[in-house]
This record gives sequence, C-alpha cells and structure tokens, in this order.
Amino acid sequence: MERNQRLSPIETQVAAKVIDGEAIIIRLSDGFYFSMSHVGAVVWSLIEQKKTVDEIVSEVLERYQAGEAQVLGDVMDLAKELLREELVQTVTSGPKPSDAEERPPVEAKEAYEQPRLQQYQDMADLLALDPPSPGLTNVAWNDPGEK
Amino acid sequence: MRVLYWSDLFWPYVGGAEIFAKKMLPALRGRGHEVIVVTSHDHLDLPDCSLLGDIPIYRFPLRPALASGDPEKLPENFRRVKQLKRDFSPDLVHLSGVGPTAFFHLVTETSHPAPLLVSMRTEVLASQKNGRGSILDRSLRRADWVTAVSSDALEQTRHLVPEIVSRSSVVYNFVDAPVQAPTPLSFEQPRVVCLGRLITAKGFDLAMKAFVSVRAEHPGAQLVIAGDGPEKGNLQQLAHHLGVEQSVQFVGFVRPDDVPGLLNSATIVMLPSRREGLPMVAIEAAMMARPIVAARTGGLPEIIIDGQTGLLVEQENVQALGEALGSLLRRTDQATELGRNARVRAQAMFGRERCLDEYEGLYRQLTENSIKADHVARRAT
Repeated sequence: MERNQRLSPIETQVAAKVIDGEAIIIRLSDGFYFSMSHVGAVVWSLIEQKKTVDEIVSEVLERYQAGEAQVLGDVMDLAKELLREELVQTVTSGPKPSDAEERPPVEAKEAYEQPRLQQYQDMADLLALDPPSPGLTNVAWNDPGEK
Repeated sequence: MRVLYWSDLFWPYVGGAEIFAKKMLPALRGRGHEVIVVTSHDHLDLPDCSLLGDIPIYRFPLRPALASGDPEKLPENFRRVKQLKRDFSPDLVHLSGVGPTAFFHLVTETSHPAPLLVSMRTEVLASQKNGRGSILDRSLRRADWVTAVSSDALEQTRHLVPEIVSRSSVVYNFVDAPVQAPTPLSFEQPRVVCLGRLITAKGFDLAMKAFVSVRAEHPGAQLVIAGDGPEKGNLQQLAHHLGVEQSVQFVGFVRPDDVPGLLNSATIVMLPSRREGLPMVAIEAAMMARPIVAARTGGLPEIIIDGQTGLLVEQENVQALGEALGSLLRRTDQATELGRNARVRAQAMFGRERCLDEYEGLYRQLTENSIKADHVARRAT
C-alpha cells in the first residue's frame, strides 16, 4: 500500500451510504454488513471520491486533532482491511472536478478516534432464522406525540 | 425508571420470547417503571404505534430494510429510532434477544447513551463463533450486563466473549400457574402434541418421522402440530409422504389463553428441537403435569431432568425419539409420575415474582452511578 495509492469502492460488489456520520456498507456477494463511524465515515466518504491515501490523511488532519504519523498508520491499516474484505479497490484515475465535495471551512478540530471497520457477519444468518415476508414497503412515521 | 425494551419482533407475533415479554412488561409497569417497546414490522399489517395496556409499542420496518440489502432503505429508520430515543430519554435499554435489528440500536447508541442490558434467548450461531465481527459480538461487548435464559446459553455466550463473565447471569423466564388444573393423562387414544412456530429449528419433521413407529403400535394415536410458520407446507407434504396424514392434525395458531387446554389434551408433549433457548412450551407443559420427550439441546436439560421429569434424547435422532414416545405409552405409571414431577419442579423454578425481582434488581444496579462510569468507559472502546 503506497501513500499515493488511490482507492475506490468496488461498486459492483458494494452498496453503501453515509448516514449522519455513520458509513453503512453492504457486501452484496454475501449480504455482510459493515459500518464505520466518525473518522471512519469520513474516510469512506473520501474513498468514494477516489482520493489517495495521502489526500485522505490530509483531510483527516484538517478535521481532527491528531498527529500525522498516527493518522497515516491508521488510514493505511484501514485501507488494507477494506481491500482484504473486498470492499474497495485501487484505481488509477481520480475524481472529476465536479465530483469534489465542497466542504464548509473547519472551525474547530474534533477529537480524533481510530477509524474501525465494524463487521456484522451474522446479519444474513439472523435474518434467515425467521425471515421477514417479502413485499413489505416502508411505512409513514406517525409521531406518537401527535396521537 | 424509563426502560426502552428492544425486541426484533413483538406481540402479536408469537414465539416464546414474544409471549414472555407480553407478560413481563405490564408486570414491570405495575411496579412503577415507564416502558416503551421498539420492534420491527414484518408480515402482519400492524400499526406503527399501538398500546399494550399503557405501554407504547413502536414498530419500524427494520427487518425488511435489512433484508433488502439496499442501504437507501436505512436512513429513515435510523432517523426515527434516534428521534424516539431522544424523545423518550431511557434510563436503560433492554435488548431482548440479539436479532438483526440490534444493528439499528448499535448504530444509534450515541444519540442517547444509556446502560445496556442484553438478554440472550437462543443459542449462539455458527457464524457468530468465528471471532469478532458480528452483531452478537458487538452487542455483548457493549453490554453493561448480559443475561441468558439458561445456563447452557450463558456458557456459550461467555465462551464467545469471555470478558462478560463478571457481568453476566442466568435469569429464567417465568410462567404463570395456569388457572386450569391439569387433568389425568389419557392413554386410550394417545395424543402427542408439538406446540411452537413451524420453523426448521423446532424439528417437528423429526417428530412426524418418530410418530410413524408410535402409530404402528398405537393405531389410534394422534400427532397434533399446533402453531403456524413457514414450514407448514413442508410438514403437510411430509405427513402425506409418510402415510400418516390421517393421524396428524394441524390445528394452527393457538391463543395463549387456550394453551393450557391444548396441553391438557396431550398424553405427551414433544420438543424435538434442533435449536432452543429456554422454551416456554416446555415450562407450560410441565406446569400442566405433562411428560415431555425432548431433544437434549439449549436450555431443555434445565427444564427436563432425564428420567425424573421427562425424557431427553440425542438431537436429530428419530429412532431415539420414537423409542422414548413408545416407552412412555407402554409404561403409563412412569409417564404420569414424570408429569407430576415436572409440575412440582416448574412451580419452584419458574415463578413470576422471582423473575421480576431479578430483572428489576439488574435495572436498578445498572442505573447506579458506579455502573454508569463503567458504561461510559465501555462506550469509548
């Protein structure tokens, strides 16, 4: 893993969404769920933008209070794990200018925590124990305070 | 105190855990605690919010969202769960069973941090034994206390995550003494009753195969399959294939109030389960003085003492099941004595007040300041 290595989600094998600072990732081949919060979610968003390891480290350092060596080590470890789990791949081309995320200026750096990839390998088995019936669509949420 | 009770499915979905919760939560409410239930929609057409007495039940489409494999179906569920947690501000979250929807609790924990009590209700799955990286593993490590419904379940759980040894215990479910008195066993036209959800874990296909040998010796015997579930069609086909369909009754879902009557009609109750926690059916059958033939799995050996309150056989052993049934139908005095012993033991071990005292004690313990400090530290890891 080199610092100038560019990463990208394997879009044919992964479905993912960052929701309120939590990256939820589903590996479609086996239905395994993964999640990353806080720093991890930021890293995933940057991977979605096809950033290099160096670019990811720089942006994390801009947002969080941490030393460069620590962040570099953590990002490299995380990248290797994401590659191992076949969630991301290395790519040669970077983001188009229009893909660049516009971020508001960072006013105060947040406390840093090591990004971790949480795995939920038993999701498919738990759902299979007593599978929900198909065809159930999303339902409107009625705030109980209105009742 | 305010308790958020999280259960993958809840009444009117029927399973041992759901029936137990339907009785326990109003009892806790009766002791002055404020309780809400968070659960999932599934195949029944139920309202998003309903009441159990004055306990609100909030249903979200959590299980279908997870099963879809589409992350676009997740955000609204996360938002709703977070909003509910912030609005209710629970003193404690009680995760009843670790099912797939525990994922939503784990991801939304920080919206309102609170001590977490996890109650294990089934065996550990094979996919959960492969080291770290499961909903179960994460739930257990996050838990401030873990209970299990049986010693067997607790041992498996502790083996999986040894760090919980000092913060875990067994709390047996309770079953209320039935209003109906047990009736004497009838052996003239023996009825073997299997009661539970029609899923492969319950092993009712094994019961049917074992019943073939029983019917050969007792042509008037009946096998009653009580319950509903996805395996119903397969079981009906199996009955036809085995040539016993005239002797097998599928009676469908049995309302909890009617269960004592059903059990009273049984000569023997059978639990040939492939996987179990602490099945309520076994406790209920014991309360009705029914001899039980069961597989040696999960918490069943804690309810049934082999040769004293029932007969235990090796899992998935059709021949052994058939021999156990035949033995009890031949030795009627033994069958009656096993049933009588089962009732005495169940009354002593599975009473309501004992169970409520234990849970209430844990709730109190987990919301005390000293535990809160540990809880904050555990959230940081």
